[in-house]
Amino acid sequence: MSEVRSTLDLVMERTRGMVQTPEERAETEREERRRRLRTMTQQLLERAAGVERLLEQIEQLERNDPPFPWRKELAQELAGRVSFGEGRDLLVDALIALHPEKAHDFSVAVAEALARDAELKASAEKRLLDVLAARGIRGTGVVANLQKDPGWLEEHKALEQALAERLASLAGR
Amino acid sequence: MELKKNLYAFIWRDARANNCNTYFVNGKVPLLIDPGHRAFFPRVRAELAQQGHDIGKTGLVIPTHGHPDHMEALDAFADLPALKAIHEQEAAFLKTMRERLHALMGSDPLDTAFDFFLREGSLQVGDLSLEILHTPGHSPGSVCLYWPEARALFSGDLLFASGVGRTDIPGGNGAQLKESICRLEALSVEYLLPGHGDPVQGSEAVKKNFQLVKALYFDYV
Repeated sequence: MSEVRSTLDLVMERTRGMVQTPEERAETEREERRRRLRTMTQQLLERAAGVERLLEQIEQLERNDPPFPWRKELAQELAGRVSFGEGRDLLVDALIALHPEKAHDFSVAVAEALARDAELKASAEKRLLDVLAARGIRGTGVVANLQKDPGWLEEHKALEQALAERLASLAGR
Repeated sequence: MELKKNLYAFIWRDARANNCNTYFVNGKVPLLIDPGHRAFFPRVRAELAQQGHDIGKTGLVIPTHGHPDHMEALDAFADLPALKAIHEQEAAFLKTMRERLHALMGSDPLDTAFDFFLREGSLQVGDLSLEILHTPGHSPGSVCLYWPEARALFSGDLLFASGVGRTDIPGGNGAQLKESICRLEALSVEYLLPGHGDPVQGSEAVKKNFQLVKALYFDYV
């Protein structure tokens, strides 16, 4: 009868002799830290933790694990998640809390992007309503479906991406 | 059946299957309200053809709400020029609930793109002037369409002859349903055209119907 081996035994046998190079180990550790920052950002967006808690966590990490640029990496993660949808204000508040000296720049970037988005939206709505009017449909009860305007969808997405990049760039300076 | 000039009603009377009534208003831009289940739509198409109307010339299709027994047949218009519209709140609700609703009602999910949305206000459809009334209760974005010129009210599943819409389904709300019905009572209505069952004709009969449903159901909804 053959020997019965546990899963752990099998894993140990298969991975015997496998070692990480120092570079691989450093990359694994970096990725682990980034994953931690993603989790913290997600907790902020889900309102499981507020901006103050986020700051406490980052200060603790900076004390316990100083070589990693925690603040800079968190700012990049926060900026990368900014959109025109839900959670934007929370993310920007967190960015400002991390870099209070750049509060004005962050706010201006967001305000400009929102204003431009509103302009594009109004123009797309007008285009769509004009098409409907040409087909005999009009009135105060008619609301344009912006999803029917691929041009606007593209512009909206590009503007959102540009905002995230601008914030990331401001945070990285 | 032609209820009056340019107003057609397709009343669903088969008790073996749940399907809604469909209404057609002919004009410069023909309007179809509540196309119903796709399996039963050929009946509407055939009856309209008998009356000399080509479904392909429909300009606008409006489901009063997003339940499959009212809007599944929208896909019959996929390759036709007709525009499709639903209340903006119902569209948002459908986005979150569509899979569950259709599973509950035993129908396949639809992939329906609406050309525009509706909200409380006026709606001009060619030479036809309508009012869109947002009347939640049976679903969050249910609408009633009021046609003042004909004194016709398309009430969807909010209000029936001697009955009211269900509120025990996702998005249903009894308090909102009662409030919506009370709002309608102020309208001058000669034709009450519900989503199920027989229409109510005559302003006195419509008034009595309001009184009846309030007396019969309001304590229990």
